[in-house]
Amino acid sequence: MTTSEPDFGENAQFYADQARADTWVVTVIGEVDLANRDRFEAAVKRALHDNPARLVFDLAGVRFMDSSGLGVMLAAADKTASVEVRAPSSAIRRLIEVSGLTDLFRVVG
Amino acid sequence: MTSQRAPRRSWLRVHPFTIVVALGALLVTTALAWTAHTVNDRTEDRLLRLKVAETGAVLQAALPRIQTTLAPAVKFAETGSDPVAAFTNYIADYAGENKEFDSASLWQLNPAGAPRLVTVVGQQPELATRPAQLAAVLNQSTTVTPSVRVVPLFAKPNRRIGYAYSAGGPHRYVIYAESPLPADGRVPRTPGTPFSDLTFALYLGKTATPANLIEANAAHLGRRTASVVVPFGDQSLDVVASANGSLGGSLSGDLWWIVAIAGVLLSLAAALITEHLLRRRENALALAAHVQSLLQEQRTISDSLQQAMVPASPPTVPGLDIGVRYLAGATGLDIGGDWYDVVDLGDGRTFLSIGDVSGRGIQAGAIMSSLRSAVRAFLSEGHGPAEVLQRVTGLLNVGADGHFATVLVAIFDRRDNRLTIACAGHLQPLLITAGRANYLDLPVGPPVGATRNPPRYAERVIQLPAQATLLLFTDGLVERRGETIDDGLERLRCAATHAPAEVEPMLTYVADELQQNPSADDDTAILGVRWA
Repeated sequence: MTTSEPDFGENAQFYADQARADTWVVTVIGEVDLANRDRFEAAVKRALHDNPARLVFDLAGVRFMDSSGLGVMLAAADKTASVEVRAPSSAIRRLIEVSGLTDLFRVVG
Repeated sequence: MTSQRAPRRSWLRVHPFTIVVALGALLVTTALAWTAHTVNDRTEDRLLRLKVAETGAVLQAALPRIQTTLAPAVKFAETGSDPVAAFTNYIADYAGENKEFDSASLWQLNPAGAPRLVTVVGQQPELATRPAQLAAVLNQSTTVTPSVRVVPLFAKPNRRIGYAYSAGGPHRYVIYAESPLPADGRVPRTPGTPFSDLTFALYLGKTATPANLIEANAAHLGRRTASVVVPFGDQSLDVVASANGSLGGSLSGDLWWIVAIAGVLLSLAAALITEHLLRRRENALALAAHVQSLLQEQRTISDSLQQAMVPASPPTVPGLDIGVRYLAGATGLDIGGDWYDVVDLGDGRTFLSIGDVSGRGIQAGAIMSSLRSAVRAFLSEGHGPAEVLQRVTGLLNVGADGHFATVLVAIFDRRDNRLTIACAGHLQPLLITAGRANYLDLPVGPPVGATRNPPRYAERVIQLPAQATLLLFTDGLVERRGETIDDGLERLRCAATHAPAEVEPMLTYVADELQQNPSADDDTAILGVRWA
């Protein structure tokens, strides 16, 4: 199991970890917006570097996410067969619903 | 350009505060140097006085030694069977060439006449050539016995000093000894003696006049002098001296100008540093003002570009009351990706669209502009709302472009108040009628550009009541950190319920109510349509 260097930002931290041979998990903690979108994207890029079959976004620690964050997850969904969103807050769950994205992400937990 | 950078200050124009600092430092320097100088001055004075007093004490001690030498000679002359032989025998150790005296003579006083010279050892006494002075000296010797009378014979060229001593016995002997003095009154400096660091002049008597000068080791004394008068036989010695160099050590004497030079250098350094800091502060302030003006400028450019892409006033459509708002986010300088659009299709139908490209900046603005145009273009080909969304979604891909867009496309037919509408991930419009406000319940498809495979968008035809207002908006109006979107939507619904019925005042009211939240950092577009 390989782990990337944690990226400690001002408002958010992004981790990319390999959970299984075909699964990478991007763990996000804090608030995701336009200001740290690039770092979120970099973590996703690390997770996708060997084209895993499954990508999991662990959003249990996310307090806020705007459309920039959604854009990063949508771009990841465009490149991976299966994208799972784990433990989103009710606010993010609603954001996914009202944005018509329920068919693109598998929301779990 | 609305402002210029502050011109650089010339090096000749020094800040007043720098001058104050320099003058203050120089003032302190002057005070310190003056104090060091004064302390040294007083120390030197005190040391010189001590040294001269010491010298006086040493010179004073010379007379008892002379008395001790002369007294036994008289004694031997009086008690010996042969006074001349006894005197000569004793005094030979002290008088003669290269001895303490170069002349020693024994005199016998005669009450009736002149004193009688008994014998002489060494040279003839100089005093013998001056009978009047001789008589005075010898006769007076008897009155102040036993003591030494000091006889000044300071006439040039043969300058001498004599000492007369009488024991006052029955034979009334007086011994008289003379020593030569340097002809010009000058003695050489003798290094290594306790007083070698002094320049001195020695006078007989209580006043320092040239006529009284016994000897001196220099022609002139220094600036700082001290004097002491000590008893010397029946006379006095006046010692006047100055120090050769500094008695307190050279550092003590040099300290004041070392302090002065160091102080001046420090003052200069302090002034330079002060000036440097003042200028840096001035430049930083000028720079901050410049940056502020540049930011303002950029904001202005963003605003004008935004207004060029999204017209601030909607077209006039007969039978409809239409209002729009574009509210710039609090933090961003960039162009937002929000838009609204209204097109009068001419046959009683009006086309409405609102959309929001994710992210901000020139790229988001450009995508927004082309998406809006594409929506219009597909519409003008006669396609319905769902078909328009179907076609534009292929123009954008979040994986390639980094952006996606939520879009609402509608056609309102004012003849029968029918709304044909399709939604790509956008927030539902709000319908306000008869003091009540409710969101429409439309099927929501994914945002434009969110997925590579074009989804099927559902189209819905809704029969709307007469005399109602439809409010279309982007998420900036309702989205707040720390709450779900439903909280914001409910806030908007309440505001719309209490808002005036006319579109313009309604938009103003709603915008004011929902912009009170300071964390509104996203741009917001609002489009309101009211019909009779």
